Amino acid sequence: MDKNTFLKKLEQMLSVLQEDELKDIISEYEQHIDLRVQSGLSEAEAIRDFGSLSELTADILNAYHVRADYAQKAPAEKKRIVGRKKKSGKELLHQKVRQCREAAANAIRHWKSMLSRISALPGCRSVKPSSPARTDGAQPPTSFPALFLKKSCRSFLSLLRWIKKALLRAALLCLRLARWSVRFVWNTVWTGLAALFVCLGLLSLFLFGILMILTIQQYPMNGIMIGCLGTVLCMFSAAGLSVTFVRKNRHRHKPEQKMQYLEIEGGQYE
Amino acid sequence: MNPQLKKGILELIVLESVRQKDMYGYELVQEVSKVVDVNEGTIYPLLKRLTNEHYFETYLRESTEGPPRKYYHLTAAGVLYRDCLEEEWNALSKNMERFLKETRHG
Repeated sequence: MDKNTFLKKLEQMLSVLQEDELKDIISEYEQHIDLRVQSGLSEAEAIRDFGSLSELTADILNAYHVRADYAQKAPAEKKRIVGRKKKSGKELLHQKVRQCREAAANAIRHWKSMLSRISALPGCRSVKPSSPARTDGAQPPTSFPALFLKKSCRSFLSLLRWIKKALLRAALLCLRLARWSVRFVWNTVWTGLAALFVCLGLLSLFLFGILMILTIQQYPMNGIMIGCLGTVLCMFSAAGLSVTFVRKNRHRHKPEQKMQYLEIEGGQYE
Repeated sequence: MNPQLKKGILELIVLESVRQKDMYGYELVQEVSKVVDVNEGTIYPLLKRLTNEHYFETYLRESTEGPPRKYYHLTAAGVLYRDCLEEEWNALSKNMERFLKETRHG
């Protein structure tokens, strides 16, 4: 190996380092080789004295507190990251569809295996001994009672599944309805209260105006007037407070949306 | 020589060499290989590490031939660290000597 290839290889293997650091250490080695050559050795001999390149780079990286195996791992990791980034939108949808299909296939397989186990029960098997006697050489056909049992089982199970699904859906609907109605009542109460407070506030403002005029006309209404002003402020702030208690639809749905987003993200990295 | 054993004392040799006189990399390598037989490539990472830990300062100085050379200079922290290492080494070698002597006689 001559000097240039050695330095190029070294540079490649130390590519994790910052550029100026890399240049610094490379120049150090370059100088070393040059000086060795001046003292009468050949380039190849000088480089041979460094020992194995991988050990050397491991040593150097160790001096920087960099994991020595990173340089080898880096390209593969980069590729993976790039691959991850490219997956978006359409591909994600495809992936989801594929996942759903796989899940469905798995479920079907599961049910099938369960059905076969049911049909292999002792009650069904008792029919089997008769079949070899009836047919010779040809494939033994599935006996009628077993077939019937299988079919009925399947229909029964599908019915059960349907009922379960319907029940689940109904429960969900009920829950949503209950939630909605509670929220509706809650919102109505607080909106009504806010309206009431605003009305009272306006009324006391009106009173305050009247009292002010009376005070200006030298009637002894100072105390009541100040009380009225207090009431005005009180009522308006109470109205503001009750408005904050009204729950909006938006706020409720936000966490759910975030969760969905996270799920999608998670799926991306699987 | 055992590489693990060498690694430990290499630092002390390098620090002591630079304490006597500021040196550049190649010079140091020559100096060290007078004491122990060492893979020349491993000195540079060591110098780098000691510089990163602020035991060495570096500066460039023109040379009569070739590009400017990077000289290493021992800092105050480096002196302290060297003394520490020397003490450890002395204690270790004394203990080792005694141990080996005892086993030989016993």
